[in-house]
Amino acid sequence: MRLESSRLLAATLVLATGSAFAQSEPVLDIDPARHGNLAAAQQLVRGAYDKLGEAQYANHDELGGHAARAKELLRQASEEIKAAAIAANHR
Amino acid sequence: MKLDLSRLAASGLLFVAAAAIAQEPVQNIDPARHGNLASAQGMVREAYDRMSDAQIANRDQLGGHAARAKELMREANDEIKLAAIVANGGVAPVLPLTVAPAGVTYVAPTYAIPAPGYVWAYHPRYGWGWHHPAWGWHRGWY
Repeated sequence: MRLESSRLLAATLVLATGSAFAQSEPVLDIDPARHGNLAAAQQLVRGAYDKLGEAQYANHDELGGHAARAKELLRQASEEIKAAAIAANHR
Repeated sequence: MKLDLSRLAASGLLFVAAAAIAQEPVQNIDPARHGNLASAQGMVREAYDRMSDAQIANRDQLGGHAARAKELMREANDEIKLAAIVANGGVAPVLPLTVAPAGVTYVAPTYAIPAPGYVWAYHPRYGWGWHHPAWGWHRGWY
């Protein structure tokens, strides 16, 4: 019983971690052959996001929360770019 | 009278154009001092320009999402700048937060940033000071 509970807990943790990871990083999900500018913009946003991660590491995560806030804004921007591509597909 | 109206229209257009320029993300981090943050700002600016290209290519019919993405990028750009200020120990870096008009000499901040979100900018009447995109000028300038 204890073993099953710990397995359930572990599975829940894995799911939660995966979900958080999936939400926290901007993804590249626009076809560059179809929407060159939007795909490029998304890639650049992802690049900026990664650079901010490096800056956080280099500054021991002591940037007053501004880098984290910028990353969150970029994640939202990436989603809006994807939504723009979908809107363009429906034109 | 006609001349006055055309002048008024021209000045209005200039004001609108100036406001539009002010909305664009600026690159104001010294790359020699903060390589990663400066690179991030550069990429955000490029992404912003790409979104503008996409808007033109799609005749501005992207459901408002491109405009929203650009606004988020501008906000992110400001946050990156604030991160650089914090990395400097709360003192603004040498480079200006906004591009100074032609003929205006940059003056470094004379006091600490009042609150997060302020940017060091040039006021046409009072000179350099802290400006917040939502609250306006610090110290009651208008």
